[in-house]
Amino acid sequence: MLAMMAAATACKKDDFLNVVAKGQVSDATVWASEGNADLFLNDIYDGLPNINQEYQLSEQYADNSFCGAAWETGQSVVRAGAISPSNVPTGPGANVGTNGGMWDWVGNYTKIRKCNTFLQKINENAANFSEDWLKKRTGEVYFLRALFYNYLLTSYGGVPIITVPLDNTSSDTLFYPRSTFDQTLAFIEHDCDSAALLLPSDVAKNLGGRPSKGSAVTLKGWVELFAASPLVNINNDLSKWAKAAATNKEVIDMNLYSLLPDYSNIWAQAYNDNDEVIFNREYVSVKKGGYREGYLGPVYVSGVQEGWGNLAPTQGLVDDYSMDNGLPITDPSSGYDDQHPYDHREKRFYQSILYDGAPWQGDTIKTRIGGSNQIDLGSTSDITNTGYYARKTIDESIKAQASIANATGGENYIYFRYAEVLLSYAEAQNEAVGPDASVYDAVNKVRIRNPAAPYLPSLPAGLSQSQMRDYIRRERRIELAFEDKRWFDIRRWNITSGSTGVLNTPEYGMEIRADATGKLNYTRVKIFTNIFYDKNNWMPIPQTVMDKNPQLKQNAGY
Amino acid sequence: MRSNKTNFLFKKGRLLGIASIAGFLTTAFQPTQLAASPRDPFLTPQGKTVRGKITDDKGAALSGVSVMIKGTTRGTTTKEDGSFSIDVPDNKAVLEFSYTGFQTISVSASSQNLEISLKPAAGKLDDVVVVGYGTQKRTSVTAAVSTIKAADVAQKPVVNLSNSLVGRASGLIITQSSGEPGYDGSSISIRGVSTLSGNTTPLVIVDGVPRDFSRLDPNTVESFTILKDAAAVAPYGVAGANGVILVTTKKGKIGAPSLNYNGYVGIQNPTKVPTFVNSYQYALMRNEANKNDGLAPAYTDADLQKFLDHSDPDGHSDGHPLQDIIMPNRIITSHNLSLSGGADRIRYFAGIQYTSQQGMWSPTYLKKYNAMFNITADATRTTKVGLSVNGWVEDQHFPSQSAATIIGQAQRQAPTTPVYYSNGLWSGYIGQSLIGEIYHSGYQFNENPSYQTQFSIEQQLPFVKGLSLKAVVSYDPSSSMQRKYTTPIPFYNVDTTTNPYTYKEGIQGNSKASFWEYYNQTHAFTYQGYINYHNTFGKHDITALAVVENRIVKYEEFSAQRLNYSLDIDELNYGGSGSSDISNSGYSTLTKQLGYVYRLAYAYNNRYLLEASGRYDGSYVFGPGHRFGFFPAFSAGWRLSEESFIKDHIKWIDNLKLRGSWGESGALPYYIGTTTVADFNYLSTYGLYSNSAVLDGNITQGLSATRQGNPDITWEKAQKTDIGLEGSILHGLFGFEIDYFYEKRSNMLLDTANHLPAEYGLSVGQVNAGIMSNHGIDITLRSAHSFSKDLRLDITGTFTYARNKLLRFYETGATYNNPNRRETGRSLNTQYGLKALGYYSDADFNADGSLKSGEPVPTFGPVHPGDIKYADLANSDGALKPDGVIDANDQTVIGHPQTPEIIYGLEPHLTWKSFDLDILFQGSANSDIYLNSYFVQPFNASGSASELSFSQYWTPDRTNVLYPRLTGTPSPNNTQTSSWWVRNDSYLRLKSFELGYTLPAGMIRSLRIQGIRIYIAGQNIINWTPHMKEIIDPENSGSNQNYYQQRVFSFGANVTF
Repeated sequence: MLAMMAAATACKKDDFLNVVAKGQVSDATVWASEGNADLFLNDIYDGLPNINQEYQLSEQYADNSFCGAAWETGQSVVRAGAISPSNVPTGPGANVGTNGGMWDWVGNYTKIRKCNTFLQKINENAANFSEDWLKKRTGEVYFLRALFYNYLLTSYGGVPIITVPLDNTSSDTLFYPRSTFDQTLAFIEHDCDSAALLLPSDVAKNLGGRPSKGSAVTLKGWVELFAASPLVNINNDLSKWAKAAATNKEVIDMNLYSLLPDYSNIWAQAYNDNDEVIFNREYVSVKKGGYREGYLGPVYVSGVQEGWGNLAPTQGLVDDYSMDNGLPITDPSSGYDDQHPYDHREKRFYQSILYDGAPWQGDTIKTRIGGSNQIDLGSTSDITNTGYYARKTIDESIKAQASIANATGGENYIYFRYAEVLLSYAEAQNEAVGPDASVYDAVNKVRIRNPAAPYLPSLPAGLSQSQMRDYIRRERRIELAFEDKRWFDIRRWNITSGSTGVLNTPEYGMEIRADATGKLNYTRVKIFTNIFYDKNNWMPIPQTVMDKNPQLKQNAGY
Repeated sequence: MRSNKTNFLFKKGRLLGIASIAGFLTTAFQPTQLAASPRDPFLTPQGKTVRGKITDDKGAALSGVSVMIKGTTRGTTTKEDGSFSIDVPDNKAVLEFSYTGFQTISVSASSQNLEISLKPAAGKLDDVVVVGYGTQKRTSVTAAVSTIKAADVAQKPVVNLSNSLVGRASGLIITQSSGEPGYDGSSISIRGVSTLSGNTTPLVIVDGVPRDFSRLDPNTVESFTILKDAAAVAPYGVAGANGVILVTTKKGKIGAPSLNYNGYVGIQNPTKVPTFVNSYQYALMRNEANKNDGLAPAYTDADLQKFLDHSDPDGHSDGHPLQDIIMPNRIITSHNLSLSGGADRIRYFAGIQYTSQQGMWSPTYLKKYNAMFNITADATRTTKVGLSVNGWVEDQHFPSQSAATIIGQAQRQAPTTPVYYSNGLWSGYIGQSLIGEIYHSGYQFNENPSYQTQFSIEQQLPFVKGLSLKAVVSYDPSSSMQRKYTTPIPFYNVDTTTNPYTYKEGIQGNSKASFWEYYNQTHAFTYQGYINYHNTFGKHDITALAVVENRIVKYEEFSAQRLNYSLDIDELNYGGSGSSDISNSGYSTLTKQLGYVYRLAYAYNNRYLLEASGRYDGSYVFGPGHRFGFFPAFSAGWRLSEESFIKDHIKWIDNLKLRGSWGESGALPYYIGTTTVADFNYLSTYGLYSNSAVLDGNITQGLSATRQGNPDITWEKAQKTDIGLEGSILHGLFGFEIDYFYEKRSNMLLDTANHLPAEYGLSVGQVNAGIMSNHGIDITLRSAHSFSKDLRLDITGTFTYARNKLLRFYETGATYNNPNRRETGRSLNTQYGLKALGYYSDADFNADGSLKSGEPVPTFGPVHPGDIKYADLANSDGALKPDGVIDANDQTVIGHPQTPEIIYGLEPHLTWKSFDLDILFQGSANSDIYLNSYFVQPFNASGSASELSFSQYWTPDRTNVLYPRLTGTPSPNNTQTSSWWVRNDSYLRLKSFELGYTLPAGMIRSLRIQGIRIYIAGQNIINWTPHMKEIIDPENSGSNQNYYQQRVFSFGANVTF
């Protein structure tokens, strides 16, 4: 024994204690081949906002949804006037994994660092990679970096622009101040341009979850639209609108994308990668599947609690769906009957909203008083607080409890699709030059969708710029409902706060009560008092972030 | 007594020098015993009578002393004059003398006439103490060491041994946060927390090797030793900084086989269960909340009436979820059989135990099976060989849903949903079903076999006096097999729109079952080589020890899962076969440690004691060049009582020793909040993981930079200083041990995150930069007194106080620059938050509902009368000037850490005639708990509300209450971290008691049984939390969602056959 011990110690001591760190890969290995480096890139993709596994969409922050899960930040923070540097809602994805929400400060800078590392390392080790691979992957990472900066820009305004992996062992500066909004915008535009040059330009369908040239130009068009909007473009500089219009036009002119004839198929698993998709995140049922059906789907089905009901359309959203004649319900000639509110509405209404009397999984949703989904006026349960559930983006073939247990959803999450580009173009062009024919054309494409069986009639001719703006904004809300666009739109339009602000006036639901004869009576009921201040249009920089970087300046009002 | 040792040594004729070798001899060693060698049976006739007299150490006769022939049922007691007479079969017989309050001794019956004096137990003057890599006589110990006799805990109805130590030894700070069978282990720290880098648990050594002790059979444990100061822990080098617990298992003693049974049966009930509102109260509160929110009432008067009169039990239910799911009087039982004995060249001890514990609901229970066997043999006159095997299996059974989920749901479920409907079907609440989760969710079974095996060989080297060599090899395999079968959880929702009501079945979870299997195995190899030397030269006594220790631990695990079981067959093979139904994972790891231990002790005239010890230690955790560290310690003792100015002049002092120590020990980096070593932090690496992004239709693997390595990372250094005074006075009437300690932990491993911008985007490896101090005192007081020959009282009191202080660590400017928030200079885990002033009242508001000017404005949303009002203490620069805004800058200290600074115990032990009573009061002080979640915040997450909150929510007419006004969901303003929710959770428990009765010998003699003692015992009997109105066990978490600690009453018996 002692001899053995002596023998053991006779070896070089340090070597004797060597243990291989399994599962930990060295720098040299990672950048040695395309296959290895791709593993690093896969991880960056995994950091894309993981919305289909999230139970609180940004719709919940905006005026599209108001669910009974009262503890969720949409209700307890955003709509309660309680956004503060120590309580920053970070958007959808916040409740999934470790990457943080869509506009989480630390999460995005973590991903940006990965992009910076990737760009730096493949450049240093260029000899290990083919030219084709380098070009394609560099383009992808420029796009991804631009996307992450976009989330920061559209939530906080100008942010520190960091383009290299920071290194505290060197003497380089670590503490960056914020760049201005315009500088950050220019940086994103530049990354998008770089990506557009490098990415494949001839692909209509997205490349298996990877961006194409169209994705990069679309992203650029979106940030330019945001920058041209009233929240940022205070003096209404028309050239900003013109720039946004031109970039979105560029996508239209690619002639690669088209609208699916059936609106509800856009989010169906069977139609993943359809021609309308510009950039998306892929899911695989169960192994890497979505929870939308369980988290967002209706609560009671056939008398039994199934889903969490976390997407509860507000009365305001429901009211914005046109009648099937194309007229808004506020138009006296629309034929709207407030005691038969769900009759003769436009097709997208029936494809998007579950209302009292709507069929679902063989059952009929009943939110009326006494129904199994009786409107919950006290947040005592998961049941809808508005009288509605969402149908759009939710796969009716999937049982909610199975979804909750196993992530059964196999449909992709679409960040950008063609209909948005058309509406962005129309909005920017209408603001820049007024409602010209190209504006009509773009909006009508979306309204008609299927020329063989139009969803809506074309827009009435002769609309003023302001009337056209109303049509476009309503169209955008309806067309893109539940796609995490509304939160950004209402802020950039600066319509959230103030006495008429959509997030500063009460939220309503529909109470439906049968009288003695069985006739249903419909009453709009106030379900929540929203409070939203001007300053809340921009998120505060989290206090923990401020505390660590003395160079940062907080947004006004916080 | 290890008489084997005396045998061969005696033959060498070196009685005196040998007598003190590592204290192997007892003081009762009498020359008469040695007159004839018990090895030599031919010298003595068969059968004889031994007579003698027993006195105390002052020469007074002791009556009633038990005199037993060891290993037999025969015995007697001494008369009034201390004399006895007993027939023994032969010279081999050994007589055992025991008397409460005195040390039990065994003496060979080879002499015809024995004059024996018993030493009092309280002073423990000549006890042998187990220390690191050896034993020492208590009088020679210069380190801070406390001990617990396992006999004190063996009969208590406690399955996990870590729950038996609290209050019984000074220096231990122990919290048991869960009572769940199998997961109820206490978190233990020795002298409090001295580091913020993750692991604060002490090193546990069982029979000389790092091992788990929590599942040992308490009947097979001889003693616990708590090593507290540098001198005591120095031999453990890098692993010693948090203190060390040494556990020694029982070994056989010479004598005829002795068979013992110990068993008990007990009943368990939770210590504290909060009560929740009934449905009528709930509805009233909901309506009040809706009123406050400006909404219509949630419940009509008709609803309220139905809740009140229970006329519609399924439509307007009145459920009591928590009360309904907890089953009363759950059984805990344990049975042990042990055999020990030995002839002169071979000793053995064997024990088996069966333990079973039921949980609060029937699917939760555990069964534990222990078996151990050890043998010590004198292979030659100079060679001692030991072999031991100690193993156990713990079978744990649970529902597939965790206890925290179940208890959380039980506190969440509103009483308006019953647990069961009137027809016996069970309900679901917000898609979760309590009864379903407990009884219809499948199962989780864990089976954790573990073995501790050890072989040792010790060789005396006759050519150098006092020199011996020893080698120990230990191999500890352990594994865990876990099987989790998650079935669809059925439940029923009532449809009240039909007449009669209909009950629709729903499913919680997937509609098909899934099965998960997990296996891990650990193989721990420890090799130790010892050189021991001890010799005496006149008044000089020298001891030396050198050890080489090498430890290698291999760990592997894998798990596999299948989904979508069509048939109810819970085997891995029978799940769905689609690729998305199948998954698996696994990994392996290896740890290595190499250490060189030394200890040198010198004593002059048994009066002045000097000791140097330490370890040169190496670990795989660090990078080349940073792997080895040296951890020395020095200590000294002065036995004042041996000085003539005391010995000759102050007769009432029996023993008095002043001692002091200083030294350094080390600590490895740990992942924060775990006991897993953070290895390879010296490398900048990328971690590979599966199930990354889906690209091109495939699930990919991902690779991400896990950290920026720190090539220079190395140990934390703990510098420990200890000054102690110990002694006993008045012939053992009082004994005491008082220590002051100070520890400075430097090189403390810190996260650098606070000194890097959040935009850095990568976690940077820990650096050795922090400094933290910890100081305190621990005290043990003992008293023993015989009031009469029948009545004797022993009292032990323990007290531990430890307070730490962060001296240097990375803190942000926002907290460092604000004197209220500065963490540097305060205790680790001090609680910070807003200072609550009370509630807003109408007087604080203008007519339009806005706050009056001058009132600081909170930034957590609008406030109303009845909301919590906070103090405006500081501005954003950290200056203590109100700035009119309540925000994070106004945070200040609102409470102590939840780990108590003070733990104390009082342990009276009373014997009266055949009765014995052992009681432990145990308490804590200087700690605060932060309450949150359902039981203090009504309607949290659509939850229920506690009965206390019903009587304590704010209304305009009721303002002097515990809780703010009601809202549909707790408002962000009121749920800010603030002093409002902090409670002093100091407690005092009647932690345990045991009342025993020994049946008179005459009564059982006919049963051919040597002795029977019956007892009743209990655990957590009375629990006082004087500073809290909320009903919560003080060791539970602030949300009260940990499995409840149990109050246990048991009945048991000890039988010696």
